[in-house]
Amino acid sequence: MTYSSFAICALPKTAWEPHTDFIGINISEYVKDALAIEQRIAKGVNLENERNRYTLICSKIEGELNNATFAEIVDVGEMRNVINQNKIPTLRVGQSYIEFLDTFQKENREESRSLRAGCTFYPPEMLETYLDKFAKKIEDLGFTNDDDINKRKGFIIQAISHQCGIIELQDPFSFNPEANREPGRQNGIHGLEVLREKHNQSTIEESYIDEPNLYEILRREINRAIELSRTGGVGEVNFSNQPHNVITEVLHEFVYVPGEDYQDPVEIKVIYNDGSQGPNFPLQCIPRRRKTIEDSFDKAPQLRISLMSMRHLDMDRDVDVAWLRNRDVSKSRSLGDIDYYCFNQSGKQFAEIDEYENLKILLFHTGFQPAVIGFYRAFVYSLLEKQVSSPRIVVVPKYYLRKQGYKPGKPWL
Amino acid sequence: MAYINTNEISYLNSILEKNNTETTSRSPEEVEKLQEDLKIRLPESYKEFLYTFGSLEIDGLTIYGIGPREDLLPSVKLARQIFDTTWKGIPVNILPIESLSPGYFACLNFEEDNEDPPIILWDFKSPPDAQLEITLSTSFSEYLAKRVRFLINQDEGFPLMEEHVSRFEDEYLKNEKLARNHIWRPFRFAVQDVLLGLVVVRHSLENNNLEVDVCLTGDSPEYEVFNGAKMTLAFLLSEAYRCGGNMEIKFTTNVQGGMVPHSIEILSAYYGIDLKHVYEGRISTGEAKLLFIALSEFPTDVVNKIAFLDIEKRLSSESVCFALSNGIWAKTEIESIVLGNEHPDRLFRSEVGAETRHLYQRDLAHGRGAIIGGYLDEKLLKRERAIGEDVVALEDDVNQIEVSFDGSYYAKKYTNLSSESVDIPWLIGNSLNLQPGQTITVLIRGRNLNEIERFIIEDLQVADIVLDSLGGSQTDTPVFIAYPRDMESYIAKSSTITADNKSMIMVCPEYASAIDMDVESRLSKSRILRQ
Repeated sequence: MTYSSFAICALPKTAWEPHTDFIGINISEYVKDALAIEQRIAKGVNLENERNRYTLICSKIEGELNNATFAEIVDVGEMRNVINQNKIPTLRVGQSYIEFLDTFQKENREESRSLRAGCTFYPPEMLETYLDKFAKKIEDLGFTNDDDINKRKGFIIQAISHQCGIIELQDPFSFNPEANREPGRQNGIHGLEVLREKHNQSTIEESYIDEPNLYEILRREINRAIELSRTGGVGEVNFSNQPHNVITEVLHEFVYVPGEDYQDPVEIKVIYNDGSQGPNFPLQCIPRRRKTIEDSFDKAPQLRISLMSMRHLDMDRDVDVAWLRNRDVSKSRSLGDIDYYCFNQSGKQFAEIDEYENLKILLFHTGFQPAVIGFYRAFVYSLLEKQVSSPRIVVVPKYYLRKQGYKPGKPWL
Repeated sequence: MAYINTNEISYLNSILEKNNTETTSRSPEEVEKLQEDLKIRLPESYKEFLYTFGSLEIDGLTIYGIGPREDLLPSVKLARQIFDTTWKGIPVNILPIESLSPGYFACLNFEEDNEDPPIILWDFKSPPDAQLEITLSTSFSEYLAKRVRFLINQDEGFPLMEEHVSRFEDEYLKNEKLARNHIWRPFRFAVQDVLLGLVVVRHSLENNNLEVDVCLTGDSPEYEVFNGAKMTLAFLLSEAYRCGGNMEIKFTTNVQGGMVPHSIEILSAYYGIDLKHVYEGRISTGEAKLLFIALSEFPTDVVNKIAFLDIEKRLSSESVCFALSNGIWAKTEIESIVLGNEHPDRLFRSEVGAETRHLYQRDLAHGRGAIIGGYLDEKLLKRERAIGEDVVALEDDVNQIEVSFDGSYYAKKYTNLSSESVDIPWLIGNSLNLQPGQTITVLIRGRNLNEIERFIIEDLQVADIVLDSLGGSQTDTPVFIAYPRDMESYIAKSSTITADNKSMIMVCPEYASAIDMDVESRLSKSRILRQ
């Protein structure tokens, strides 16, 4: 099959700043717009329109190079000469760059976004910070020995020393004469034969589980994921179709550990049925609180909060405020993206209420899994950050039962 | 007849009585004569059937045996003769006992010299040495029991279906309420008012699978084989995926007494998939996966690649099948995406937004390629006839063109299998025909204007490489490159395209930006369709 190849181009500073240019190229206004759009996309504002605009602007940035002369450099020491000849120094890299981007995105979407991994332009002033983080990610993701990734890193170093920014052009239809002409065969065996064989073997272990206990099912899945995470992988759990009360109560069991000390968290991947992924959830990290600490909140001031506004209007009379706005959460995006949003927003809000001493939050759940998971993840991270032995905030989940009012869950503190 | 119980025999008798159908029980001497004529030792259960009924011919069930006349079906002797006349070399130990769908028979298979031989599925259109010999039942008595239970299910299922429909109308439709997945929901499948299937399903929160309370199927002879079962099963698998469960399908005791319906069991056998939990009334996750792939009827190389990606946990095969069954991507578009792309999983997952530009651009490019390829397929396959002054395209009137995809060049190949030439569309400045027996290769390059400016030279070079590999003659084995309409603007302003290489260019009538909207809409649908 065809593959993606990239031309990494170094563009001198004069092309990035207003009122100057390099061989007639000036992209300052486009870059300014594009960066502003990135900020708005990160906030989740008017996503569809902003993404369309972003695509157009990036296309314009890349299109500005179409009339330029490129000079492929082998030795990065040639960069100055090429620029002096009014050409654009270029490095070509292959498929492993997109593999890197994809691995990064899957492993930690939030970090990938904040690093602007996958963007096609890097202004000169952003490049140094980008390089440091990029270099670390190369190691983290296991691309240390990859030629193309290392060449790109070297090229960026040279670009920085020549006060250049980077623009990257992708060709998704690069022809590979060595391409596997029989993608459905490996070692002479057809894929379907292997899948059938796998099914035949698993039929022996597969047995019909007539298990009504949803808590037990989720506990089993989380245990499996933890086991995998402890042995070097990252186990995943699909939280879609799990009732929110089951999620909250079972996660509570796994977040808290015996003893007095905070532990390094074991992380599991959070995935949803639409194929998307939220940030990893930290487990087995918070020391289980003594009863006396729990009891100390009995007379604490209470704040009655519904997790999301506009979801259950009959809950209105029972709450003081909504934690998340329905219109911000319920945009047309993947469940993983929604989880990210709820997690980030909750994190900011926990930081804001940090000054309170002894606050009891009664959290009235509204049932939407990404919001629930985003909230409690943020709470756990806020505890991990502070690592206090006497917490100042307790969150008591309240689950809505249609005919029986609200049932409390286990307190989080 | 060990498997069939007294209730089921009573049911059979009641149907025969209702239809005024007479059966003639046969004597041991008649049965012995049949054995001699057929030169085989019949199993005891089949002999018992002959003693009791002789043969059976009622609505929905025809079992060959000793009928009223030897020269008319349901005479098993005549059925065997038809087999012998059509195919020389059919093993003497294959005895057809029922026609399941035009060209497909249930046959007793005496090959292993078994006293109680199994029933296998026989494809009448294929020669004896090409048969898969998929087992439908381990014995005649089991087969007959399943067939009778299937009939009972068809009878008893209708009143239950009506109950569900009535309840659903009262609780949801009249109140204009939407039912959640875990509510029993009735569905009906028909083609031009020919009923092919009725089901009632819900997602089970407890077991995270799809439960089925009614499952009735009926094959219509006008359409492809097992059409009713195919349509119904395709829906069940789609729904199992859409509801976000583990793909397992569980039939309640209201469906064929808690078994997997026999029509679905037969269909699975047709696809070479052995269902191991028929009596538990469930199709397991693994079986559902294999069935979904089989039902999608992708070309072999596509199936094999999807299978490998599934095994490597990079792509769930059911997500691809769901994309097809829900009309997100057409079959040929999926073929392009799967075979032309190192990582088709990313496109089907469509997790990236435009801000992760490189990843998004790659998904967009392959989406564009798939759609352009689809347009070209349609254009070449659709036959237009001049009737008077009008040019009309009639339904199902297609050019006989074989379409395939070569992932290594990201190219479509079209071979004209008919005796008529076909206009090659989208050419600029010249007109050519695809001659009978000829193959054209079309490199699909879904590039916008900027990208065309950047990569046109490379594309022309690749086209030359492909042409060389095919013998070098643009007359005999022509090679083309198909672009979106942005290419018109490029040609207008550039001198790169000469008269020579212009003859290789095809221009799709849509601009890249319009195609992008289509791609984005499909990516968006993939993201939110599964619940």
